Amino acid sequence: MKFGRRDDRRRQGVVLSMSSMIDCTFLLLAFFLFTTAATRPEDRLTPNLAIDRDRERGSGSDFQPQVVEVFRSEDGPRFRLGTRLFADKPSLAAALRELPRDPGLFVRVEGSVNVAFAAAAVQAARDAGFDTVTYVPASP
Amino acid sequence: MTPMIDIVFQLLIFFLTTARLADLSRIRLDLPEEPGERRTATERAGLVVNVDADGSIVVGQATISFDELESMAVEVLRQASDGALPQPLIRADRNADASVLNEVLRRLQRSGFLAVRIGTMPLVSMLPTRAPHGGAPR
Repeated sequence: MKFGRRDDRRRQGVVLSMSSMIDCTFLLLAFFLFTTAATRPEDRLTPNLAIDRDRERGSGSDFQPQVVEVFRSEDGPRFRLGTRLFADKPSLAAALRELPRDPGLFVRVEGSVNVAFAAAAVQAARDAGFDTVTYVPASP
Repeated sequence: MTPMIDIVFQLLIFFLTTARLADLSRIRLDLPEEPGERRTATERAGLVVNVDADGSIVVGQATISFDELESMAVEVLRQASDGALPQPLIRADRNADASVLNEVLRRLQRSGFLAVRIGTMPLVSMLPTRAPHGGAPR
């Protein structure tokens, strides 16, 4: 029985050139090194859209709409929920957790604040468990 | 040779699996540092509107006006034939005035969009592998 020897003979006939494979590999490596963009991961918030007059029309419904207003006071940007003022997102989110979720929440943003505060208000609503968040751009 | 080939292949696999090819529709912006909704499902990009810190609106590589954005949005909605209403992605710099964002959203709403996606950039500490905290503007 000469099973092993027969295979060895076949193997001896095959010559695998490493150089071309390494060349290809290095080229691929260089390609991915140069085309890779160092980007940070992004996420998103998905509010519904409404304009001011829609919110005003909504006053005819059975419930009072829950509105967070984002505006700039003398002390800087603030969040207003009813008569309560908040300077940061965690305290706003804590207050929003006390509200019923079903009616949803309107976030009305004045143009005088930065985008960061608009996003923070929507994020606070999401953190508080509101599924329906409607962004209301304030009238210019 | 063998160890070197091993290392090269390891590097190659690393870059293949972690590579994020540059998306030309997204310019470099400082997005709001919020964790977002942490959705894992991928969504079709559709219309991507970039709002720069100075208030300019960039779609693709072109700076456009509000009127051009509105007509572009109408066209995107007209071409949406699969029934599902697309949600444009608004990538607004966190230092941009909300007045620009408001006007963009007003135009999109007027075009017929009912919801949008506002791009955020979670800090490393906000990523799902770690406990989310902080990051809010104070």
